[in-house]
Amino acid sequence: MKKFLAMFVVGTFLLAGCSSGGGGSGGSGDKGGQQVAAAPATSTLVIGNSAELNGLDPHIRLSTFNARVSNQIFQPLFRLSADGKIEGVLATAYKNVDPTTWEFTLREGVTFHDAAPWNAQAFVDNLKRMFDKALPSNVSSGIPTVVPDKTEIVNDHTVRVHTSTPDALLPRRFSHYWLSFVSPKVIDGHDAAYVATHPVGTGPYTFVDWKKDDHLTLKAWSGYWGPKATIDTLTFKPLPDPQSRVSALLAGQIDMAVDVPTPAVAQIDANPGTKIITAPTGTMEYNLYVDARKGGALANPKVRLALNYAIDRESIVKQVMGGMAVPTQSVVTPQSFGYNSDLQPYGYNPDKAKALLKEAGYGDGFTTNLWYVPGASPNEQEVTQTIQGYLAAVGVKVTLKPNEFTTNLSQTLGGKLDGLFYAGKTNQIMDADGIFTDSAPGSPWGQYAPLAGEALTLWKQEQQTFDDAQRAKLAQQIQKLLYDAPNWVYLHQMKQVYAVSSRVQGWQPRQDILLDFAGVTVQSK
Amino acid sequence: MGRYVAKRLLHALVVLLAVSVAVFLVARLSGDPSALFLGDNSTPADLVRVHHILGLDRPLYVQFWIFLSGALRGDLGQSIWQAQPALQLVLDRLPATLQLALTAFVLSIVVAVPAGVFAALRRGKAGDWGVIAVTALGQSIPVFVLGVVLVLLFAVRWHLLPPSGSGTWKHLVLPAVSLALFSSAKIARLTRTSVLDILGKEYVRTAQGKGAGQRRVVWVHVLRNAALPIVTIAGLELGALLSGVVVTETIFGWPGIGRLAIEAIAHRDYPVIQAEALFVASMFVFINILIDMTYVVLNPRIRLGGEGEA
Repeated sequence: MKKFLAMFVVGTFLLAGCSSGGGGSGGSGDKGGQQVAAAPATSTLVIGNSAELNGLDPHIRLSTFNARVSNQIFQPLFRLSADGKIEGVLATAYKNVDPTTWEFTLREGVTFHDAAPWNAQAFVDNLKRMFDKALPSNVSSGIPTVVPDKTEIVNDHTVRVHTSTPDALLPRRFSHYWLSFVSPKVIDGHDAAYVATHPVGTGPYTFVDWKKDDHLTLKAWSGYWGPKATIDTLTFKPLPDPQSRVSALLAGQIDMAVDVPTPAVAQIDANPGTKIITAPTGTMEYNLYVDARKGGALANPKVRLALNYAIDRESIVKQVMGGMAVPTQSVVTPQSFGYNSDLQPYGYNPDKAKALLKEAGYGDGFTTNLWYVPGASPNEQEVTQTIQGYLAAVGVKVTLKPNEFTTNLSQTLGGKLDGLFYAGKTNQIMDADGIFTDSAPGSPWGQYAPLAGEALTLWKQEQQTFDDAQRAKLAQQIQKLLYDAPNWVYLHQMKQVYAVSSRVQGWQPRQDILLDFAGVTVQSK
Repeated sequence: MGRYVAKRLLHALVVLLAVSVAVFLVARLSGDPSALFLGDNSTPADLVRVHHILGLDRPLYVQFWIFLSGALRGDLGQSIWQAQPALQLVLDRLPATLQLALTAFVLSIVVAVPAGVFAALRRGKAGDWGVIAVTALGQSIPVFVLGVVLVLLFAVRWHLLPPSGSGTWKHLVLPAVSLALFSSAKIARLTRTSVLDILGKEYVRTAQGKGAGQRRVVWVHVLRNAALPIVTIAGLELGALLSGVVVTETIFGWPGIGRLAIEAIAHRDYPVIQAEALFVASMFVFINILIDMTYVVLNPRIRLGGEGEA
């Protein structure tokens, strides 16, 4: 027995020794809450991320929690400004040569972190990889019209990209973080496993180390082409448990926590050293998708309009979402290009809903399903249950159908769902056209209730309109049509909720949910 | 003894084969990783393509044979997400989990056995009731509640210990205590019962009657004889600690196999789910064999099955 115990005691201390010895990467970065707190100020910012990264290869689909890190290392051609305009990053200009040809002027004097030059050849190499069908990825869906093989190198810093059909959105599409550029030295002749572990881009931060499930460290790159980073080191700590992120912030172990749970907001705001910062998520909103394919009640536009009047969005946002969402009346987010700000909220009007149902021939109501994925988004179960109650009040009997996340996604894309389904559809480029494209007849999401009639005609016209003002006008007209005869039951746009130490100065959330630390400073304690 | 060990190892192989089949099938019930690679912008054609790249379009029996034949060679496949050998990912995180689980285990034994003996020797008195009350509490508080309370007190309020992470002994304290509480409560209660049982035996009363001191009676006569059930439950608890660190590692941001399991399931990373389940099952089987060996060492009266004696 003594030997038995002794063996474990010795083993434990040996392991403790190995671990705390910090051999290799584990020794750097975080040294525990107390020591981080005592470190010199303004040099390090520690961010509590909502999950461990599943990779650092921008061409293998990256989720938001990956993008928060990867967009410090890698950069796309453009990015969207706070007011939704296209800003140059690795490209400085773009022009439409003819309806199916765009010319991009690449930024000069830029090198990757490994000293490889950023030039037209690097662009072509990356474009080829974005379309590589051997990768388990579909980042090329961000630029679906591009014909990669036809790309022309005009000179060392000018390329011409050809599209299969006129595509007015192409520069904006190249702002997607999936379409970021990796050093040619890394991608040429190497497999995906190598690329995933050798993150080399052109961004303001270079990769230092990654101890999985513990921390990932980035360091400001002295050779960055843009304004020098004001924070020397960024450390991302994966803390998937929301309460753990909150505790780590309150204990001073981290300086910023992402995706803060609503119940913790008041506690953080009340704490003298921390604050809550929120912003609308411009890239996504949650709505009820409607299956109108099989005829019946949901195929009737009056019924769909009735459902929009039957739901009290304000109450859902206030009572269920704790104020961390914004009610909507369009499928386009207010931050998106082409948003129609003239549309007024439907308001909660069950009497009007009943009258519309009666007009449509469903005065006695009808039954349908409502699919959702418990836990896939904040309060998803509570939201759908509340909707079930509102619809019951106007005679629509809804059966809730919980589904598993990946099964639900496969079934959605495969057209297997029916009735109603609660979903958030990403529109990373924040352009009304993005969501209309998803609603096109025959598309995976559009197959349930596709654009039709005048809306379809206007959308086709909008896609080939290269004048921004004119394109925005068309997008607004489409939204008006979809307001009067909706294809969705509009619900809400989530807010991004961050908890930040008061020592962090000058940081603002971006509408496209990426993190930007340019100009941010961290005051000493 | 050799024959017995061989027999147990054969049994172990059968168990591990059954685990392989079960985990292979259960992993595939967790969902389709292709959908996660593609996201909501994909098409059914994308799904078919990625299915093919990941080898998920092959018949299940072919996929199982690839898994099994690889496992026999020590190759548990490549992580779908991390593009690294699945077994390597498990082994990389194992030291952190072993460190946490063994610390919690030692803590459990060091606290629980003396507490159990103490309670037994003071049966019916305040000390006994105190131990019973604390152990009842220890077995009743879920680790996700205890962990959060400890963090709020020791990290957020008093700033004595870090709330999460790893790297120093300070990081180890809160998760180890959280993890140890349930085990120590269980072991303490069992120790108390076992010691009480032995205290009633004639040879103990004889030893007491012959004037042996309390300490000698407890250490020489009682504890040695009460050790069998304690070692059994302690061994099982060690296995449970190793496999049950999932919640603790998540709450405390501890980079061990528990968190790896959560991530693998969340990403439907079949090879990692399989590698981890098989690895943990192997540890369980190995610990059980060790416990059986320990029986023989602790109590020579126990004879090994298959050698003709009951």
